[in-house]
Amino acid sequence: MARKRGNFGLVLVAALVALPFLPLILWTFAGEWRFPDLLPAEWSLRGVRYLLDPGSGVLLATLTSLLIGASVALASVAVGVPAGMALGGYEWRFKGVVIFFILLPILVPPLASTMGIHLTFIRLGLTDTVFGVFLVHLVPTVPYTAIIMTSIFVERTGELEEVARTLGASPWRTFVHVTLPQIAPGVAVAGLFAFLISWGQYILTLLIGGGNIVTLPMLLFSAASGNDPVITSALALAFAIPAILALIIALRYLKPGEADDGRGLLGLGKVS
Amino acid sequence: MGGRVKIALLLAPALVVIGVLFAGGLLAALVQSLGYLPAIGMAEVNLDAYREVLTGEDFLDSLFLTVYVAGASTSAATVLAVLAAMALRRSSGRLAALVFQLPITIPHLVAAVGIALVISQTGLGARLAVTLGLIGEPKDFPVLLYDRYSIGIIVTYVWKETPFIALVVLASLRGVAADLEDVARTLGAGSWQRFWYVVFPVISPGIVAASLIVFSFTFGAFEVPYLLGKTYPTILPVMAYNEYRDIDLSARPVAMAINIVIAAVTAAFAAAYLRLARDLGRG
Amino acid sequence: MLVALAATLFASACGGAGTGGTGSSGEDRPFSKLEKEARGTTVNISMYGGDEAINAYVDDYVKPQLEKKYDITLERTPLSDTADAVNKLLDEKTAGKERGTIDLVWINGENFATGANAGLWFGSWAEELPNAKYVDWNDQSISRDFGYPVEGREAPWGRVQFVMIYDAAKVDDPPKNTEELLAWAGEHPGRFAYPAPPDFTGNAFVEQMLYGVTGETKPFQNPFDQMTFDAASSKTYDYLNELEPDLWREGETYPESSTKLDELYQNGEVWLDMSYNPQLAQRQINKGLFPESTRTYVFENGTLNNTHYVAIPSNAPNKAGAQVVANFLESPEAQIAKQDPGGWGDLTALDIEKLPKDAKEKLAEPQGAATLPTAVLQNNRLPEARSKWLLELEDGWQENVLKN
Repeated sequence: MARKRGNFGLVLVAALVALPFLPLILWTFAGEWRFPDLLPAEWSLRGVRYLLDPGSGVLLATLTSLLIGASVALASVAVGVPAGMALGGYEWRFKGVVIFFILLPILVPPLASTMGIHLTFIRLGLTDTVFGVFLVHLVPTVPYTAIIMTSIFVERTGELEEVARTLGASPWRTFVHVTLPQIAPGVAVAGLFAFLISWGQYILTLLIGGGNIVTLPMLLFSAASGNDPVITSALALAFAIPAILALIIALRYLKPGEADDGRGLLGLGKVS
Repeated sequence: MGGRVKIALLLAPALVVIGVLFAGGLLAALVQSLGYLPAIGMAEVNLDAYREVLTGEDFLDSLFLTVYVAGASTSAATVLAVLAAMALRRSSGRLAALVFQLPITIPHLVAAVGIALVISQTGLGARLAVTLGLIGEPKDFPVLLYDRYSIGIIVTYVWKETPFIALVVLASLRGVAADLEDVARTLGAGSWQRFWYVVFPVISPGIVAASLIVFSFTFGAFEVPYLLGKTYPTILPVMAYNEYRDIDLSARPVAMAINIVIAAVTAAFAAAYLRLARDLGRG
Repeated sequence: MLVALAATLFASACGGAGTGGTGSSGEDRPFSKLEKEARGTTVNISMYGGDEAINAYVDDYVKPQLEKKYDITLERTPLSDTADAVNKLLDEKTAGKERGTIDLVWINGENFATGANAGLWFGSWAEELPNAKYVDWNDQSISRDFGYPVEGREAPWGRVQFVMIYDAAKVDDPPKNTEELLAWAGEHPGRFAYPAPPDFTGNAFVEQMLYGVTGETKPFQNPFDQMTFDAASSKTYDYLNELEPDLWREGETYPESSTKLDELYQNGEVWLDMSYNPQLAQRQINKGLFPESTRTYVFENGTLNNTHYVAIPSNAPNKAGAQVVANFLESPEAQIAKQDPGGWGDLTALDIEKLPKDAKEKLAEPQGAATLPTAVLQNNRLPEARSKWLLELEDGWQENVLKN
């Protein structure tokens, strides 16, 4: 009985989760679709053609988003791993304060700090550049990678490292050959979330990029403010697909138990 | 190598990034909010911006709306999340995980656009209503977007945040709570009693922690209300942005003052969350 | 390190020309030199991006033509509001950034005036362009931009005139003045809306109502006067507040842009629309977006008309290229392509009388059943008010109408 109720519940929840995608998929392939028809009267590939047309700038924007996302992921992981090591692997006096400080950008909107730093960025020539956008994307991502890596390091006891040290390995070799393979799944998750956070940024990119650095969410927002649901939906799907792909990769690569352990990854929800 | 030095070095990159880009930005915002913008000739520190902001009707309307939207979204998401987690705890782990994790990875803008196409007066919902003969024209369908109750915004937030809270609750439910519940059942407790006296107390710290995060996030979030919100009143982050975009640069301190207020409120929630997390003895 | 690299590039780009711009101004060099200098360069134009037809004109016609004729690569930066570009230039000036990223801005009215007051525009170059000979610089509505003297700092690109749009199949007798509009809205609640200022079209509607309610236009051509403004604006706001309950959504919320209002009209939610482009209705009919029964009309006391321009920021990195592009935009062929209701449909800024015969024929008469004949448009022109009146009017609208 509980199983049946559970399954019904699952179907209901799945349906609700899928609901926003329904109009997105329909509109993307719609030709003529007037109110109050439930399905388009004509289908068309205009939406798809728009995505692939070099003139529309979608391909370039996607590449820009990917470039920024990948660099942000790499950089924030590089910064987050040592931070996680310090916070998760050791006990020390001001840890609480540091954790609070690192946690702040997750809860305090980076928009506030970015507006504050905008003029400085202009003065330093960082506005209208990919590098400037990259820098500002680090603000919401580094706290995440640090917190994720902290929870990874907390779970580890350091025994293996001790063994390696006793056998004479240098700290660096220990790290590369012992620690790294062990924390690799955590690093992958951290990198993935950093990528997704950067991928989904809009206002930070708009503010620092000055309209010159065009990423996919900027195109989507612009289209969503217009009156062509076909283009808007096509862009929305193009924007969502890498996110879904990332999820599938993560689920394949990691065992489900690790990925959805809400306890260790508390705070994980504010990805995008 | 000294332990202290080692820790400091490990932390340095993260602290520098957050210190310079985030704390530095907030500091700059604070300075500008006090009216210090020498580049445009404002060199006197004063509290004018704060006075204007805190006593202005706009600000209070906006604050009220922001609290309402964050509060309603968080409450709805929490209730639904608990219900969903309770209903799905016996389902296959992988499937439930997938269903809950999908919305977490989908960008807010995508969710907003999709939901808008469902609930707008000419959206899927309205078309279905016409097919079922419930309404005749778009204007008969209830107004759920750009409306005074911010329903579109709240629905989007609920769609996005419920799975997050549900995952947290689910993790709790499958852990200690499950064992305790079995014990309670053996002792003869009914299902409501089991929930209220056994399960709920165990999962509630997790729920509260997750809700704090969701409230804080929705309080300071920009994109969804910017796309789906009313012209006026608008939520605080959008109000700050509009002030920032004003050609009249003397509006800058006001924009920064609003930013500082947002930062203060959300930081307070961050502190509360940390206190709670620490009390639970989580690592 | 990146900053150092950028600084080196900047320094080397300045060459021996002194401060940023003089090396590539049009003042002391013949146009052919500018053309040569512009070859192989990129020009960035920042312009409102919310209208697909306008974007298509620039992307699909102007861009390839510039490649072919002048070997110039045009990059279009879409803006959701021209004020954003002005803001950016102001920020850059405040921060001392001497070499910006914008070469051309599509602009007019209060944005131009604000920029001019802040010294943001390169000038004066517009009257020296070869195609400037087709422009009637003596025309007040060209030499003054919403009353503000242009002085060669921007080149006219096109003209607009405010028209009302209606669906003749649903509306027999569209309202021709303010009283009739109020009455019509009362009889058809929820069927009329106007975009919220500061949207360009929304601003125009409120300005039209200002003229209609006060019955005058002259005072607003003069410098701003607070007392006159207070009296005139309170009458206008009273009128708009009286109108509000009969608007779409009972005025609880306003469409945030003219594009959104068009969408409402397309869906049949509202029966009246409005636009600064007299050919918009025909263009949308041709695209199958507006119903075929759509027609346009003007208010009985006339409608606003103005010119829109392109300006060059003083920190533009490619002023030579910008001028070559501006010159092309003003060329008769580009203007003909622009006026085609199959594309943008924007009216020409050139003086018909000064054009060669075949261009004259093509530009004299707009096409389409939904577009009003040129004579009707010309005989019903009202001048725009000076920017300061409009800025105050917009702000006042937010305070007195939106927040009620």
